[in-house]
Amino acid sequence: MSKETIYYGPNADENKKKLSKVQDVTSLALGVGAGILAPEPVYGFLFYVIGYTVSNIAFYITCCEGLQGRAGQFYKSPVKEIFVDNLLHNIPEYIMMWCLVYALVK
Amino acid sequence: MSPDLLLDPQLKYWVLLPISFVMVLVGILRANVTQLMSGGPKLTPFKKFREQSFLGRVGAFRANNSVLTEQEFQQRQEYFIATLNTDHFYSEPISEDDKPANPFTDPSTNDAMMNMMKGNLMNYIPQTLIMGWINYFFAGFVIMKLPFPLTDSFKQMLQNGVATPDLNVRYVSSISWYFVNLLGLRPIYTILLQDSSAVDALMQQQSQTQQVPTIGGPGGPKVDKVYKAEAENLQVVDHKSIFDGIVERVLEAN
Amino acid sequence: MSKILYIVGSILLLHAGYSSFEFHQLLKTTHHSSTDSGLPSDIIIEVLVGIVVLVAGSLSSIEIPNFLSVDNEVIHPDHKYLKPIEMSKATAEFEKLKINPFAELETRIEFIDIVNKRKEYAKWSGQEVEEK
Repeated sequence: MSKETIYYGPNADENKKKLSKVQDVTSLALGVGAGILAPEPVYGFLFYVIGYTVSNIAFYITCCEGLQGRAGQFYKSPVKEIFVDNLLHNIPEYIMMWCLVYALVK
Repeated sequence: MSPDLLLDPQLKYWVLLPISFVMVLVGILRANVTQLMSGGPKLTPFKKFREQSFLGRVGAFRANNSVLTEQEFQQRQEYFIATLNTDHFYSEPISEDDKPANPFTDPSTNDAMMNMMKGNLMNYIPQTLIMGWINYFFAGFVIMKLPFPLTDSFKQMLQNGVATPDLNVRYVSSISWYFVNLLGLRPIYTILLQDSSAVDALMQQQSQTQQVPTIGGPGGPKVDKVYKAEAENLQVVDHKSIFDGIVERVLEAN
Repeated sequence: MSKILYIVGSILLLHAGYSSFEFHQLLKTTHHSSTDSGLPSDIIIEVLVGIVVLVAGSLSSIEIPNFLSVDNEVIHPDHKYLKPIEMSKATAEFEKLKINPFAELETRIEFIDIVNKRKEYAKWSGQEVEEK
């Protein structure tokens, strides 16, 4: 008999919601920051990717206890779900805050 | 590099912020109104549900009959086949005429259509209202400079109503700020509403990929046909009990 | 805790935004071209710190609070932020709380051991009588 892990759905959903909440706040904050700093376009997107990844690393280390290698307990495929999946999904939020603050500050 | 356009700072306070503010408020209002209008889940009529659940029971029996002994299996098989061939569990008497029923006379279908219409109304009315409002008051305003350049193909959409064909695409009109808001407001709603399921429903409405509710098509199979087919399936079920030769297997294992 | 962090972060960003706004106004009135002179470094630092504080606030806002179990004891969750998704571990947490999300299924009439329940009841009522 092959041993396959059974997952408890509600907890998995809850974890995903928490992750996306952190990522929402991050991208909004980054957008505000980008609007204030007013970087060149290329650096602006670079700023987003770097800031987003740094906050994800912080999430991975503190919340998932990733340094102890326990991230697999909380997400089915931790690296993909945390770092890749929502990257494009959160860009509109970032752009919105960027535009708004940029227009207000200038 | 074209020289900078000097935009009136008052534009920020009287165009940019009001649009964002109104969009956030309308989004929240819409989430609440949708919740009020959607009501509780609809119940299936008792007879209809009984019809389906009996079919489910037969299906479960067919899948799991190996846990029964030979005698138990025989009894159940007989019972199920006999009942499937009567009209005991039909939700409504079967009429002999083969004329397909008009799907619009069925009340359950009407309900589904009604819900779809409500959803669409909740979706289109605020959007058209806001767009109309923006087009009415702020038509042709160049309100902001985007922090990043775009290709010229966006000009048509983002500088709608601006009568300067050579203007840099980075300067956009009020309607484009509306679009940016439409895409980017999700986290604001999440933080304000504290209930992401409502937000998800909201964003789903906005992205206009509504799932079509199941409308019983006129070509759906009749209940009696389904029941007859199920009875035939049951007739040919090959029963193999897990208790067959259990003594030998246990002894062998030790 | 998370609220304080959110407020502090927002104030930092707001202040940085206002400073940068004033800075741009100053550039405009003194007729510098705004492209060749960057923002003063204190604003940049303030923005970065503000973002970090906000992210920290969001991280601390997802912390799981302590539970109160059925027996009125405070239970600390095993993991501070997230819940384990493996079935075995998730149910272990429920057992600690002495609640069961599948109770509705497990207490169906077919699963109740009537004989055992009666024995328990008899024992309990016997105790009551003895105490009296």
